[in-house]
Amino acid sequence: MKALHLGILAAACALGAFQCQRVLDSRSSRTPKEEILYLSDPEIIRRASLGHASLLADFYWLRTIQYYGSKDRSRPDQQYDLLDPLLKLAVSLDSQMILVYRFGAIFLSEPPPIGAGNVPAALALLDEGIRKNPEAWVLPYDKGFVYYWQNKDYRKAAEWFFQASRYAGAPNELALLAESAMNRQGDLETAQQLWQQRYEEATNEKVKLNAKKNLQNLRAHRDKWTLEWVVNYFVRREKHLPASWEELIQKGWLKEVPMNPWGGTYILDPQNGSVGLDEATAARLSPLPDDYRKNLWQRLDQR
Amino acid sequence: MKVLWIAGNTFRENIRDKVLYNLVTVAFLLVGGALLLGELSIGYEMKIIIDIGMASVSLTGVLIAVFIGISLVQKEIEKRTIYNIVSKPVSRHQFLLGKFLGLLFTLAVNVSLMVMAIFAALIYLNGRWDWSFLNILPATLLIFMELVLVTALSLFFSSFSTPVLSAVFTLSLWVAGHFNNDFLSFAKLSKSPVAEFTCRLLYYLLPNFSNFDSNAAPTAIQQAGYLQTPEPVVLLAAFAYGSLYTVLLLAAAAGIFERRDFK
Repeated sequence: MKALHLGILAAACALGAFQCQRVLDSRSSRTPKEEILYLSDPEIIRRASLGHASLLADFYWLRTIQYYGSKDRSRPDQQYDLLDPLLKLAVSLDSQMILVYRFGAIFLSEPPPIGAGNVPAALALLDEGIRKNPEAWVLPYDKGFVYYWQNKDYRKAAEWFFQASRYAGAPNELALLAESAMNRQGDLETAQQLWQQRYEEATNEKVKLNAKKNLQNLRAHRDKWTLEWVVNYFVRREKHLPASWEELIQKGWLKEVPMNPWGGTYILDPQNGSVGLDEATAARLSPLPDDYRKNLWQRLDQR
Repeated sequence: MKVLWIAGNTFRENIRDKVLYNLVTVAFLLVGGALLLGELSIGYEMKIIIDIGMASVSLTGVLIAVFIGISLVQKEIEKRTIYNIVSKPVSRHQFLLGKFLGLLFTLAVNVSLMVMAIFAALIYLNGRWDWSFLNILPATLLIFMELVLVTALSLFFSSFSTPVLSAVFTLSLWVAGHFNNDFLSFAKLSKSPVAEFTCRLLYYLLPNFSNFDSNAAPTAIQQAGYLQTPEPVVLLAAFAYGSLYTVLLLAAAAGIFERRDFK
């Protein structure tokens, strides 16, 4: 009987505490939380860790991922003020965390609202990584990647790809990539080579998936722009826009209804000749620089 | 033989005191961590498990070494069983050494079982056993050496002080021992020869616990996270340092304990 009374008392207290917590939670959600980094000096954190700085580096890396992941990327004014200090803390506590430099450079360099749009900070982070891990070819390669995608500085990108190709263990394709970046600046094929390289060298599933998505996006853009070029050419020859794919197939301009990389089809807008993805395709196209389209059309015109 | 008999009894007493219950907490921490990390982290799942494991081995070990270590002698005095023991043909230093070895054996079992738990979590994450997992052992041995020294410190203080003060002294020295290198920096910066000498004296006098993180960059624990091993010379030097300092403390503790009046 005594045990039953105690059990009822404990259950009532637990239920009451749960309700109180909910009331407090509903209150706290109304006040916006200020983003604060309580400790920002890596030397103090290292000393306070009593020999376990590596564990605290893990903690700051997990915090960086949570911080980046928690941001609403649909807001154009999204801020990533703590991203750079969090990454710097993680790599200061454990300078061997190559993935932190790699992902950190992506998070920092991507234009807002996807990333912080802070290319100098991304390049500084990679420089720090290159200095502390002189055997890791992936870091100069990533630096070339940032120059290629974010700065559109193809010469610098080629220089860094070439530098990465000279490291022991670097894949042979890097030298070819450097050559492509130098000679065929801003074209789809070089971009495809870059992401293919990233896809093949990735050991982490998330990195691999990201590379695959980018490869699909590039293939979809190449298809879309090629189809739009065909439609333009058709207009020049036939003096009217095609009503549908069937018209192009019947007249021998296409063999079949084109399929996109996600298994759906491309649709043709008969009003203006633009090409898009059908509604059944869940994926959406991420924008690419217009230089790529111009270069592709130039090459198709030359054929 | 008498020493081993006392050590065995001390170990049994520790097991009866449910000292190894901390293993359950650590096992939950590691298994829970292994399950969660796939969702939370991008890469480094194994490194994080090893780092959590190493920190758990170190922290729980230090707590056991301090709080059991300070009560090893005191409990016998409070229960007055010390009179029975010292009246038998057992010398005081044999009694002290037996107590020390008993606690070391408890710590060794604790550390071994925790390492098994880390291996289990690594197998779960990796999907299979990999011989490179054994590369975490040198760092674990260094942590164990650190625990040996902490146990010797707590036994030394408890040979002449109260349990509360012994715990305070041992924990303070353990924390200070991780900052020991600062004395050397102060000595280099100091312009006064007296201050420089004092700083150097303190540097060599106080136990240097940062030696057991290999006192270098990258540290042994950091290397364990990447399944790398420290240089053998670093490992051997740290072991020799820890062993010699432990013998020194035990000799001092035995000297004090021999003269102690239990009335």
